[in-house]
Amino acid sequence: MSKVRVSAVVNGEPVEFLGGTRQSLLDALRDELGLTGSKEGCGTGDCGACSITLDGTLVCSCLVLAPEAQGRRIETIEGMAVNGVMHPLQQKFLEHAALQCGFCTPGLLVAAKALLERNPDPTETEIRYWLAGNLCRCTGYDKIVRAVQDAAAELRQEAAR
Amino acid sequence: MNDAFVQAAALRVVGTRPIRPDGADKVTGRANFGADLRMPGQLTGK
Repeated sequence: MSKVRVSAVVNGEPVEFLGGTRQSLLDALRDELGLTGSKEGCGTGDCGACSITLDGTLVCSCLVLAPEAQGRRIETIEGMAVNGVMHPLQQKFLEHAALQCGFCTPGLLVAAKALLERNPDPTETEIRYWLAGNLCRCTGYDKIVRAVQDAAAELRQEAAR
Repeated sequence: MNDAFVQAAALRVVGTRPIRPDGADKVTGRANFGADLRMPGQLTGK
């Protein structure tokens, strides 16, 4: 597989790596950059475990080619806690027990954060639709939805202060 | 088990909502699953 030099900004840090022309961005993040927080559940865009944002847009990184990241701004789960302080979503996932095995959790958190950046006060239906692309086989989703609602409320309070 | 016994036992765990001990690693992406490990000299099937 031929390699292409790729420069991007990952979680605020400029990075350079050699990406294969047929390598997924997910594999590049995991294997070239060592960021294994994004998971490969299916590799076909069905499960959402590899969710990241590319210039702010939520995508399945398994469906993006590594060279497509050239010049883009990437956010992964590793960038969600800032200086060791968890994002309210991470905190609420813990408090509401919105995870069990934890494999879907990074993708769900990245997706939920992208939702709250667009819509700070989503209805339960809007949350369920937005997270429909993230499969979880442990929780039954109810606890995840409640955690997102609670985190949204906290973020709105913070914004109002 | 009668009520008196339950009261005497002063439940400290049942009925509480402890945060799972592996939770922080799992919500930050630090938790290592099988596919996240790289051993020296590891062979990979393609």
